[in-house]
Amino acid sequence: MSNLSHVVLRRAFFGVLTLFATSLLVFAATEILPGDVATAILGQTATPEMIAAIRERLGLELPLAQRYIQWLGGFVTGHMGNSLATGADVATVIAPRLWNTLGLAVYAAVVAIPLSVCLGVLCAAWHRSAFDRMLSSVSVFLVSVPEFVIAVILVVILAVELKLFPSVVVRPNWQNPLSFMWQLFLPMMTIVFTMLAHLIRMTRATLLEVLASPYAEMALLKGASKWRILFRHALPNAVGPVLSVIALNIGYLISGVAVIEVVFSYPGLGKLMVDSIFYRDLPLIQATAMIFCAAYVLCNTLADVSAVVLNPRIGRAA
Amino acid sequence: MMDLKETLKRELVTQRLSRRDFVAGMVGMGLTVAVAHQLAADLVSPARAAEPKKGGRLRFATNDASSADTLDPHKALSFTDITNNGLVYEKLTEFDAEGKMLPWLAESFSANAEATVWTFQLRKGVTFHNGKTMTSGDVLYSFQRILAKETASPGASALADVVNLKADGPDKIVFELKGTNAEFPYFLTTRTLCVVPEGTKEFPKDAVGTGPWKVKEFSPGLPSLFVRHDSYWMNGLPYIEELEGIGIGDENARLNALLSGEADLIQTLNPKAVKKVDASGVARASIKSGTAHATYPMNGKTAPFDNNDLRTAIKWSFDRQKLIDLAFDGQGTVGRDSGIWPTDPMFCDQVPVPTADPDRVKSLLKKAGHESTVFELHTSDGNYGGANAAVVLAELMKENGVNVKAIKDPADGYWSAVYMKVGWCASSWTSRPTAVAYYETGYTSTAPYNESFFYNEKFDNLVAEAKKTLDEAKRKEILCQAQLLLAAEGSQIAAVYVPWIDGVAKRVQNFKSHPRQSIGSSLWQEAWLDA
Repeated sequence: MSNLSHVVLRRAFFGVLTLFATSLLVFAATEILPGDVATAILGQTATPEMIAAIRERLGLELPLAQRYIQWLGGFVTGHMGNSLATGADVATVIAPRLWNTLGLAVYAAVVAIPLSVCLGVLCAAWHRSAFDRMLSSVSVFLVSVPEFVIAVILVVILAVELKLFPSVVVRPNWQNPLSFMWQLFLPMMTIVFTMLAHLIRMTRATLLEVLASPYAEMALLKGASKWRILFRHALPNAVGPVLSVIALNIGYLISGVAVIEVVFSYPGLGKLMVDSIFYRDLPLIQATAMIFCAAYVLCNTLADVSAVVLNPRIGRAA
Repeated sequence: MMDLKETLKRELVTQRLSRRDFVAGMVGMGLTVAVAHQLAADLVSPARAAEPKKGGRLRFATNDASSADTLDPHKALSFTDITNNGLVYEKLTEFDAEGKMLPWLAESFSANAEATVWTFQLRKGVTFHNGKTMTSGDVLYSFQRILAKETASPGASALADVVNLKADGPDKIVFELKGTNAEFPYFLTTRTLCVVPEGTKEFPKDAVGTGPWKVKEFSPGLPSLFVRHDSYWMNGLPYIEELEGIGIGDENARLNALLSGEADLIQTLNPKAVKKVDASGVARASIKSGTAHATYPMNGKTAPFDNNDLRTAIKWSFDRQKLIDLAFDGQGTVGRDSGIWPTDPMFCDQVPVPTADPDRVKSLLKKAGHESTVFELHTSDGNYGGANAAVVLAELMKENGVNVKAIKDPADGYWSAVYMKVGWCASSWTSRPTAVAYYETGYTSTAPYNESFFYNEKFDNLVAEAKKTLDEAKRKEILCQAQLLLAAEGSQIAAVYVPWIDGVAKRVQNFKSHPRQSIGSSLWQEAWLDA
């Protein structure tokens, strides 16, 4: 088990370094963009006096390094600051949106993971059959089409023409789980389509590799049925790599669904980041970037940990 | 005979008979064609003097709701802020849906002989959402806050003439101006000049106004909720009980929301979608032409656009109606570069409409020495017609001899990096209270948004004189001269007046689009929901 703690500690250390580097990069990137929060808020109506008044009020006249260190100092002590555009406390703005994004992520994960694993198993069981080939092509097609195109197609057919689901989800209904699932059905489907290919193919490939191993062959020689070999011998050994891929996809679920959130006007973290960048609202941008980064680091760590736990040989080699 | 008539009527109503056959049948009965047609019309869509129903929730969607939204009326900037403003707060005067200026929170107003001192008599019995009665103290506080430097209110420029303001008793407020301004009450319709209770400092915590709806829920970037103000000063109004404001930035998503029933009112419907919406059966496109216009200002102070021959050549190098047909889907009115909108009382129709004149263009370009120069026109999707409009304009100009290259800049940062920084760019205007106010905002030498860098002493004098002229007919004459001058020598291309196009669901009754703002400028007091 010392190997495990070794892995976790190393990951944690590099994770913190990554967070720090990300915060520097995000700060630099926001500063490079033309304009600042004053010009963004005022837009066409900006006059030099109004811009100066807002800049002074928000402390934007201070040197870059000082502003970064001020932000960093606040962040590590738990004070994420206030939104530059509205003055609202960052934590208060982010909290409901974080829940919304997590809600959608969990919903999509709960549908996508079992579905794709099952389909992957079926593909491996019937590999090279028409089913396998068809599913392969369909999933590659789905992963190649940009997610907003899939989203728009789903909306036009299912929401506008057939009126089965809402076309935008501005107010997710947390009180009623059934209503929540109905409201988020289209965004969830969009995400699932995007994730399916990766997971199905990984499951299928890993299973086929395991099925070619000596002990699987031994089980076949002993007379075990195809399904018994799959579920009793192959699947447990295939879980490791598949879990790694799943963990990485969960990272995507939290930080990569900004486009989908914008298409459905869903009040999640992704949309918040897009809005904040437009307004050059640095405290909000930094806070969301840190959350995304932490989510990815965590998921990567989980992926590595699960690989080690489920396959002790990796742990010993490391 | 009667049976046959009844049969015909029934067949028409159940659509088993066409209107033409119905009319033919009725004429055979002895009715005249005209009466038969009218009868058909009444049967198919009976004119119901429907009673307004109270209650219901209306959901409206705006295009720029974000985490930067504010309920501080004196700082409202985005369309969303302005729309919310109009629901919660009110001003001393207001423009109605026909473009007429009405006394609103002020019951009446009067001025001294030189129109330098304006007294506004406040309406009695106006209550704020917190129960407090509105007095001159509240009005005074509101205007002082707007004028204060720390507030940085965009509405302060409308009060640039005010040198002193004071309350005269609990129901009168007096504005002292630095010079004659016969149109001062119009200036008070400017959207940020709203009345708040005396002492209000924090928004949205203390967001209280006199408007028809009060704030129930507000979190920037998330849906907001407004409920009916039961002691609103217009008796019996508003009809609608609740309003929900949602932000849908993506134009397609907003349209889909209207068509699928997620929203009842949407802002800025794309002209391309008008036919689709009208044919959908669940909503209609409400179109109103007014003050909004697309401009393409050239920097008249620096080369190459400091040459008036070049400027004139450019103005006469494209067919304006063609620009509207190609870039604005035929929805728009031609502008004459004088800036004043055709429906304004001060509009001067003596200003010629520039047409595509290749010969004139050729000779003027030669004279200016710019026959082969390529001119760059910057634009972004944040302008009317999108970036596409400038591309179309460039092509139309090329056809007639002016070499123009359209450059699309990102909408993000356009107003700080491109607008008024490059030689020629696209811009957009919504409205200003009067023609004089418009010129003072955008064209005089001291105008804060003199986007075409126009510095003409004669023009400044004409505008100043118009402002001092109390007689309306005389003012119109002077402004006509100003318009002619601006069109002939200015560096502005104000070619298209874009209509406001709102998407309205079928269940919304008595909604009127407004000439000065989208989604009816929030004047929904008399609208009601049918189902």
